[in-house]
Amino acid sequence: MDKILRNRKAALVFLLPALLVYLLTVLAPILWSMYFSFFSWDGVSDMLYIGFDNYAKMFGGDKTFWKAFSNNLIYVFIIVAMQVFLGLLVAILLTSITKGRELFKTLYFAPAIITSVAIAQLFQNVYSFEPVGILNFCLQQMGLGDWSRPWLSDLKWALSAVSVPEGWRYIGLYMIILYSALISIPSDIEEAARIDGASSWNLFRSIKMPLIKPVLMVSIIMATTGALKGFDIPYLMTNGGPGRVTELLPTYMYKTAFSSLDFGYGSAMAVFIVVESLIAVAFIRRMMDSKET
Amino acid sequence: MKRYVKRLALALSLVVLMAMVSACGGGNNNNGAVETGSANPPKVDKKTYKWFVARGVDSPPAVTVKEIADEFSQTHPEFELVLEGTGDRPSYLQKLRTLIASNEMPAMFDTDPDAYASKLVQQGKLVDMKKLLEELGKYQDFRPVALQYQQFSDGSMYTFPLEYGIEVFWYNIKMFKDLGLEPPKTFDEFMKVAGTLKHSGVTPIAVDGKDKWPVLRYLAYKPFRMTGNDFIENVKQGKASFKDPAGMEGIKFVHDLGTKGYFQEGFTATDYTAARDLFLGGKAGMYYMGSWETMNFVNDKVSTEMKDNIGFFRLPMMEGAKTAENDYFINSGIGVAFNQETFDDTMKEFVKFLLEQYPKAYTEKGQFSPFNYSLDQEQGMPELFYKVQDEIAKSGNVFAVPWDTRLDPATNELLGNELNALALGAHTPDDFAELMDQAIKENAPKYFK
Repeated sequence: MDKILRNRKAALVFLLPALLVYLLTVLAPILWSMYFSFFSWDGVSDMLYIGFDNYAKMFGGDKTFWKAFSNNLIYVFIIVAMQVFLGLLVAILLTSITKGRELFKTLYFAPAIITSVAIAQLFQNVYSFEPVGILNFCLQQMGLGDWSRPWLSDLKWALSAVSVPEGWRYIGLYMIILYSALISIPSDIEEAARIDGASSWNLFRSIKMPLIKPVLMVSIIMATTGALKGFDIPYLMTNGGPGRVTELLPTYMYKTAFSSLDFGYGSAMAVFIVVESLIAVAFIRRMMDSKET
Repeated sequence: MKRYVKRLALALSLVVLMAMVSACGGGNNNNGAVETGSANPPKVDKKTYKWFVARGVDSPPAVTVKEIADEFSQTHPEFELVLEGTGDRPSYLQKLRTLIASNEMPAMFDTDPDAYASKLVQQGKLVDMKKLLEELGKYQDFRPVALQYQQFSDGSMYTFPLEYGIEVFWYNIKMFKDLGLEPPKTFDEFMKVAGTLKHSGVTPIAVDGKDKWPVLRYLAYKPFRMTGNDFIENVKQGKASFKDPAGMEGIKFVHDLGTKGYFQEGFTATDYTAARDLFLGGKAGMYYMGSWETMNFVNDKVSTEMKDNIGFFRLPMMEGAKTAENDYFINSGIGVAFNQETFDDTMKEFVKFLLEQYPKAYTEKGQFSPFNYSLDQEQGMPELFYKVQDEIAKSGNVFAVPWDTRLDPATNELLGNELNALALGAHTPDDFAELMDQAIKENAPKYFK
């Protein structure tokens, strides 16, 4: 086995199938979308070449597109905040306990293995107003009846309401990732710092944070790109409504292509999402790197 | 040793490649009709026809057709019908359109006579149903309104119906009695009734806002009373404006109902069954839905208090109405279309057989069929069934067309979303009218020439 791995050609040959699959399933559709984005096509009649008109429409006058874009940014913010920062918090708390650690880990991780459809159903019931759902019920019981509202139909709150389930669902995943990073820090470093009189906060800020930074960066990138292409839960829970309050770029793209039957314009949005994700990753990397200097 | 390793690696990657290639090759057997020359006796070339169903494969029409198809297969062993589908309309349409865009149109599928279907007709992809029904001598067997509903605005027809239903307001008899309310005859009375219900702490109207079309009906009521179907037929092409009196009346009606809280709180997130359960649970006074729900109002799942407690009234009237009291939304459901390419003699024979067997088989399931066929009192159906059957017999010849079967897909998509926002008060009626006019100006020219 060792010999096979040392042979570079053999390694390349083994990588080839994966590369082919990747090219076919990732790169080809992206190129295909780019091609489609220069056409006006409804899936039935002949394709009509229209140059950059779709992009002009996207950046020019389409208010819904920009509304979806800004919604998406808020969605990303809520999700990254929940997944990475709550995940980190839980991971830190986990490192400080010994009893029942495995139990908590399993419990927090459980939502990550439930399917989107079930989560959407679950939260639809949590948010429900008539018949009264658990969230509104609790608010009423606590004497905060004024705060209870039909969360998914509320023009102000619907976007946050659809963001929370997606954020909540993967807290456990990032908790596990960050927890593994935290416990891989050699204990002698920690002990040395403690002997030098570092407080817990200083220990965390100056020792642990820099050491888990690469993992933290990967987590933020994963959470961000995941949220940028967020689709299933918002689509299932509100389908972008009411109005366009919970419309995200991917849901808008999907509806434009498959409901409004404008495959060209939908493809232009798909290309935008790819570019946007790449920019986001580059941006996060820059930000994390610049902190170091 | 080294050489051996190299060979092993090559061989392995070849295996992987082969697997991939053969997987690709196996993927093309989901076309409309596929011939699978089965080696087993009897030696017949079995042809599988796919029906892509928009109503859920366990809905009464689908079950009835499947039963008849299985019976047909016994005498025609070469024929096999497979059903595939979903009751969730938006995702059904998306799947169907994706299949067609990738050249995999099913042999049979469900579609409304909408702008998209008319494109398919222009491309010569659908079987001319009017011609077929006349050829089979079945045209006269249908209720005239049932066939009219399947027609495009120019009178041509490319689908035939499997269902038939009138749409009425169902109401809670006891609730109305306790508050001294009468079923409203005009829209003014309707608003008063809703107001009284709201005042007494009951949700006046249960509506399914998630599927969009039930709210869209409310937008269409007043324009239908004022102009018949003229408004929608004109406005879809930009020949009329939503700012016209008919349009504004409709918009204001939805705006009023929504902002006054006459729909249940959070209605935009309520789905079909949840809305029905609100009404059946006695939490809402009124519920607008088609007669296809009749059997769900009388079956064993309904609580004893609600049994025999459900009545219905017709679409209210208004001053200067152009349509009569017994004209309202009548529809024969989403129709069945046939792929021209896979339509052969076997299929034709099957259609003939289906049309002969369907009326009786379907009606006995407690459904109203699009055929001139009704059950008499001795059949032991529930009382409500016979009441609705009577009402169907009394209904007029002018029927309202659902707007979502008339508008172009892009405008439809926008209207469905923004209408809920209008009811929540996110748009003023004037802004909404402007928004819709803009959308039609932009999208309609692609579909209506």
